Amino acid sequence: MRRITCLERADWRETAAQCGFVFHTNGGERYWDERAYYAFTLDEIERGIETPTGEIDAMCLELAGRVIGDERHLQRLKVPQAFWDLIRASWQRDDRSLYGRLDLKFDGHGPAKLLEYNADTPTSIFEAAVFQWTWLEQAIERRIIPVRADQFNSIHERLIEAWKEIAAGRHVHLTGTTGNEEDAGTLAYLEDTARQAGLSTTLLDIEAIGWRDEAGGFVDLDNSDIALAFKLYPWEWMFHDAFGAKLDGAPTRWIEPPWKAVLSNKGILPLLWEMFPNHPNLLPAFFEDDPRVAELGSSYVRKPLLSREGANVTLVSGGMPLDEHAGPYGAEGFVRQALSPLPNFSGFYPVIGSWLVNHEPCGLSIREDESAITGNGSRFLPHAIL
Amino acid sequence: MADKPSKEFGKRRPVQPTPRAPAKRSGHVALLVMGTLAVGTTAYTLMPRQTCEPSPPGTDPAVQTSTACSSRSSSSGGSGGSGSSSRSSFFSSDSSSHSSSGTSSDSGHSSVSRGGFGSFGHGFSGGG
Repeated sequence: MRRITCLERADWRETAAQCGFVFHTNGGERYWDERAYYAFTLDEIERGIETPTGEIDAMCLELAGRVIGDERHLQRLKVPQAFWDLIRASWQRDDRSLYGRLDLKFDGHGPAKLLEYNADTPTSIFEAAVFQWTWLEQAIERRIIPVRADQFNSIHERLIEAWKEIAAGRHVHLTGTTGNEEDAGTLAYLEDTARQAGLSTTLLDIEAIGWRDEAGGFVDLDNSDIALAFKLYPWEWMFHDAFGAKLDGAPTRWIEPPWKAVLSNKGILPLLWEMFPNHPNLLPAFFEDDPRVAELGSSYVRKPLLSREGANVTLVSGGMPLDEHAGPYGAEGFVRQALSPLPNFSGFYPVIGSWLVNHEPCGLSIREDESAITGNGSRFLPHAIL
Repeated sequence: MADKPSKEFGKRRPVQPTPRAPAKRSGHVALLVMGTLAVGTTAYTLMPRQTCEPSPPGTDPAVQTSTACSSRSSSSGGSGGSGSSSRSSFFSSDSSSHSSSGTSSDSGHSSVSRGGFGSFGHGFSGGG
């Protein structure tokens, strides 16, 4: 694994605009950054990332079953009891998952380590699946990178195939906070892949969803039933919203399904460690109120059960906070995970995003930062297999 | 109270992929709708509901256009609120603290209320 500086395409912003990638710059700072790329060997991809990703996914499914079947675990994860039946029913029906992203520490030497699982509402899939791929093709064409370069990236095709299988011809509603550029872009891309799978689609803002009293059910702006909905809006927020109480009685099937609320909770990190102790792709982790947390000593990463984009994560070394990202999360409690510093490439710390579509590892994205905590402002860099 | 664990719990495994040639990369990445429609805050504020129908069998996706999609303006789209930055509990509130539903409409036979989702997300970023 190497970080290689390179020329950026002079016209990449125009290319981004042409394909609808409008959130490449965040607050005047680059989000998409192709002035460097990460290079991997095929062996690093296959044995170092792809295989562990499949194994971690299998462990997560094993864990989900145990958690959902044991109310002590659900309590531990602070999943409100009012939604246990909703979660349990979705698991027992085998409601299907479309996608997810594991965040991994990987340095090309030791085994990949799971940092967290974005199981419910992962974003950055458009830039991973499409714009990163466009970069590869054009960078080869323009001799910016070697002609032999390849990329671990079949996300796009996998999404189309997964839609065919999961939706099986049904109409799909896609919803989220469409006033947010990144979320709107993610929804637009997923709608695009659903249409390429031959599905009819309706896109609507999460606030536009209606509830019809008679017969009970969620409806769109035409008052048509929402039978199958992709939502880019976290389960824990839906639970808290006014319509949350109606979820269990509604016939709507959701993607990601309610059981993903378990796997998107960082409480799975200690539970995975308990269930699969010393697994090479896991880091020791404990709930903060567990006496065994002392095993971590004075160096660890403190993470809220529920948070996004590194918010409220604190990196502690030798009892001293090295780095901390502020945020609104943490009321549900924290876990502590063994400190396993990200690799440092010339002052940049990359985190690997390993994508699963329909449970199949199929692509890679990289976020890097000068901070050892990956956050909302971390840049997306492309990768290549050399 | 929760039911006792079923024997089925913990037995799930990833879907077994259909045997095929290993594919580490895409063959062709094409967009059908994106890039032909404006994407972003403004576009979606104006188009909170957009419906697209599949194209007839045999149509090449690469040459399809967005004409199969219809849009309608509405005042419901877009949130973008900047809520409180204080630390919030997701699960500590009881139902009495939920925001009430927003608009209602009577579509002939039954009433529809809207705005029951989305309020908690103000001030947070949804994706991760």
